[in-house]
Amino acid sequence: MSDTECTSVGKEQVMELLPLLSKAVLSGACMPMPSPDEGVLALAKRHLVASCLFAEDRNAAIKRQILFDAEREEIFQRAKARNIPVLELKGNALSKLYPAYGMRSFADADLLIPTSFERAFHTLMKEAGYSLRSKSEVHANYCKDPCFHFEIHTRLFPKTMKEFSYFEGIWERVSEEDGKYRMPIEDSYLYFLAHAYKHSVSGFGLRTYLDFLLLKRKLIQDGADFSAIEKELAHMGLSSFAEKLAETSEILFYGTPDQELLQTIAKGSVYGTLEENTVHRMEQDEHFLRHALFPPIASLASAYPTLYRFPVLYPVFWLFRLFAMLFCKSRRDSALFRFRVYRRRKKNK
Amino acid sequence: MKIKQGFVVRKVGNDVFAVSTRADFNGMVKLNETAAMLWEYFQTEHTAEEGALFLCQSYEVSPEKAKADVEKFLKSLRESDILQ
Repeated sequence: MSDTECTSVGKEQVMELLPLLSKAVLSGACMPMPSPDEGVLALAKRHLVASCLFAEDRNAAIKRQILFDAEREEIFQRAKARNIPVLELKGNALSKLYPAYGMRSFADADLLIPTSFERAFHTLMKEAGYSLRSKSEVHANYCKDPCFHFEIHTRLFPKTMKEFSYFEGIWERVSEEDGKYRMPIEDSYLYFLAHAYKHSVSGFGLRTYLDFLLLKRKLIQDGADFSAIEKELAHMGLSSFAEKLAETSEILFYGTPDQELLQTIAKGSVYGTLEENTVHRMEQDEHFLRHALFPPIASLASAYPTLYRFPVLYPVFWLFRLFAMLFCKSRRDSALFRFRVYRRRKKNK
Repeated sequence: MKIKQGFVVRKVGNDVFAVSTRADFNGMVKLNETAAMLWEYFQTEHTAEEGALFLCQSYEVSPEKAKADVEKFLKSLRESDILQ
């Protein structure tokens, strides 16, 4: 979300970038090219798709992916020695759908393990030189110098997200081949959509739309059970969301996007826009402002998991959040931006 | 001489990449087929002459060409300070 950044990117750059991405990612013309004008490059970087196209970014992404792959292999070997099943999630899994190595960028690596192995995996990560940075109900963040960040998930969604209880039984559907664990393609698609939905409050960037189209193509290639997918999507309440995502992806890369969509992409980043996020929250929560100032305990606990165990510490973390906002420029700017969006919307009403 | 430790080597398509995990070299070396063989060979201590002989035995190249290729390869590694 980069609404507070100064940028000269406009709809023209989006119009220029879309066919380049379509050709490289969807038609497989994946040889990297020299960087074009600054606006297109800035837009591609903001949407984390520059490595799909441009030589310098591709090389940086290849370097990063090689290092992460080596680390992941070491972790997998250690896990295998302890008989711990490990499943690759999100970017790791999606990167294999892109036509060339290093095309899909990623910030960290996500792995899923069964909850019962949480303690054993913690020991494993410590032995591999990692330190635990933070922990929530669903995952633990491990880091190691110079750049490694692994999110070790023990659940795909929090228990409170009852609509996604389908994923509670994921390990019953996972298959193993040559020591590698894989979820069925139908589940990969459902998980992608459920995860995208969870983060949809800000809208999406171009990378998500490309991921979606590649995953959809893989579904067709693998002869996925579409009726089972439709049934489960309806059960999760994601049918119209999936339709909308498909429609927008198709328009962006195979059709003619309208001015509003071009503008949204021009203003947004890989995680959509802060404005969309704010508007969505306002629509969902009639006490938006009160909750922005005094977040409900469950919401604050998702950022500070200690609160799950010690809710009495709410005032301490409330103060901590306040000071973090006052002294961290990006957080302060985001808060002020949200407030301006709120005031503008209220005024227009 | 030999190549310093601290590289992850991986084949990507037709190319081989050696990515540094060292604190003193934050880079990546792209290797073609011959360079990848020499990279492997210089993991242990060898002289440039031994490297040239190794190339002659591996490929049908003249000793002069092999020597020139090895010198070129070692020069680029020396410039990045990854030889010891």
